[in-house]
Amino acid sequence: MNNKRKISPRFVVLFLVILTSYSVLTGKLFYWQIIRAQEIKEIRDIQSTESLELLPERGEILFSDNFPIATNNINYLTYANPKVIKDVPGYSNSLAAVLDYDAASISARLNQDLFWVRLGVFDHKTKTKIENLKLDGIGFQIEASRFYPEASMAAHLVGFVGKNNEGEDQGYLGLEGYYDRQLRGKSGKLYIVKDALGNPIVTDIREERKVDGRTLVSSIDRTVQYIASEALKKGIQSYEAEGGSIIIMEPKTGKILGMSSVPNFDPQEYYEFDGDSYQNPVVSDLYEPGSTFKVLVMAAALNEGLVKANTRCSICSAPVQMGGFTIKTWNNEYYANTTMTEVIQHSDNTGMVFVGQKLGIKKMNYYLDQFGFGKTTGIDLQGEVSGSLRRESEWLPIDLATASFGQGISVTPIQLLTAVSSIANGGYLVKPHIINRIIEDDGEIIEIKSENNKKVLSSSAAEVMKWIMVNAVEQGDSKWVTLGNIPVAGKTGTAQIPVEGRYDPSQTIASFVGFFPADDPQISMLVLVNKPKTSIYGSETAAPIFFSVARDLVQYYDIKPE
Amino acid sequence: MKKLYVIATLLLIALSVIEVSYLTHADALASESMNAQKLRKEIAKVEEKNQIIKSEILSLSSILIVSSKAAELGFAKPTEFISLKKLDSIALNHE
Repeated sequence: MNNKRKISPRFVVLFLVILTSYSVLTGKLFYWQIIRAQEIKEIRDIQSTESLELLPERGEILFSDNFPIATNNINYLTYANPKVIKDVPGYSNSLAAVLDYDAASISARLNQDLFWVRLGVFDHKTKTKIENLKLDGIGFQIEASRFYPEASMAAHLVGFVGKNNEGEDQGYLGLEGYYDRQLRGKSGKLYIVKDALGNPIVTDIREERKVDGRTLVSSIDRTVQYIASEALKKGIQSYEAEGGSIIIMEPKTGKILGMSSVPNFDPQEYYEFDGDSYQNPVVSDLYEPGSTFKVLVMAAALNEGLVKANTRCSICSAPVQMGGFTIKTWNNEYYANTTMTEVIQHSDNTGMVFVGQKLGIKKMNYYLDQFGFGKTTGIDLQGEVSGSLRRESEWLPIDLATASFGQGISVTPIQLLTAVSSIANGGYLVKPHIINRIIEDDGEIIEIKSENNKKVLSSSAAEVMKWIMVNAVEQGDSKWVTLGNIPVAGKTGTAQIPVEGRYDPSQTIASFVGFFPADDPQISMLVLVNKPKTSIYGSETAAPIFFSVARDLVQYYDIKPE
Repeated sequence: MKKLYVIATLLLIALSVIEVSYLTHADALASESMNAQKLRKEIAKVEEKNQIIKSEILSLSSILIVSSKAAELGFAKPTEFISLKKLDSIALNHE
């Protein structure tokens, strides 16, 4: 018997078929995956790798209480496919009922021979209403947008976000403009390899991390901002003025606590407003400061030891004649042998000419430069202008005389308040600033410290000037507005507006600058009222606004008399 | 010859096992990918809702809204203010 089992020919055939199949398959795989691997990988990358741009979230801007001045929101780009719409008039009527459009304009869009028609960008509530209509061919795409919860309350301060030439978001003006690069962040990328059905393969996802924009924490106090903007709005209305501004600062640190201007705009819908309203007058507008400037010229003369509080004016008994011009007082009243304290109290132009002459052109120019005029303050807001100063050789005696009472010289409101704050803080020119802290994407906090402040006045000169200003408030033309027993140092200003080379007496910028409590100043403030109609005087328009805000701030900060 | 038969059978079994395990792995990978995709969509949806709620909260806690609501409820700005000194405190005075 033959023990050897014969292999079935069918098995041999089957074995060879399977072996050949595997060999062919292995060979083919070797060919594609080893020999032509690179080429195949490139084709695969093109066909099945999707690269998604990960857009960074724009950083928030916060009030000092961490409530957002500017944050991000979701809106929905809504579109329709006209090809699937059977009853265009009915469809349009349904949409018109929930959108702020008329049915005819929607119908005109939907009658186009297109597959995709843009209906608009809507918020979540409108999107839900549209969804509830259950219309065919409608779609939504999420769009990130900037959101300003307090609307126009801090419009000039915050600026707005628009589109640049490349169609990217860009911050313009205010904090959005100044800190645009910090707020933007850096986009990332997500590379996804998909299978034949288009599903991503989980093990083959690569990511270049996006970096969200930094968060900015400001010194703006929401309550102070509200108090200021409401009082300004009310004041502008009451005095039938064209506009106005208010700035509230911590004189010792330069921190801005509130800043508001009227007319303003809604940063959310900035495109609905006139472009002129975007500029922040506090940093971008130059104006003649008028009598508020007298305190700085007087402080300079006190600092130089050229006058004292009780120095008497020898030219104040009548109008002063100079180079063919007659310099009068604002009310045509003259006080012979008046003291420097009274010069500020009466806002006496002739007295200031006396001070200006004592100071001289060289010293006047020096102090204007020391107080920061003719250059930007460096405040962290986009759009700040510097104005310019005359060169020493360009000054005429009449220029010196008019500059001493704030005419013929132009400053920005922020320059003036910064300079006056040096009287409040013992003689230091502080750098005004709004952002205190920057929080990075990874949570790291960068504290922004106040820069070294320049000493521009001696402590004693600042102290004397401060009490001269207190006297001006208590005895001057605005003595009817007070802050109880809390001493306020201040000065009114009524600057005529130059029109075609002449001053128009009916058009003024009324102002009041001051600080309180005078014995330990916590707040300095400037109020400007542009072209008031009920009264042209600062004492009757800007001063009441100043004291109304001051009263609220005393209560809010619980400031008590010493 | 029997040896060859066994080897061939084992080879076929081994190849089949490899094939099956490869398919099982690929299937697991695909399911995982689909789950991840689903999770990613859910996360996006939750983030979207979160953003909407956050915006609504911010709108409602805006100082302009709060002050107008307060006015509607009859709260008025005080016309004058007083500040209590510690010595004047009534609550602390037990005598």
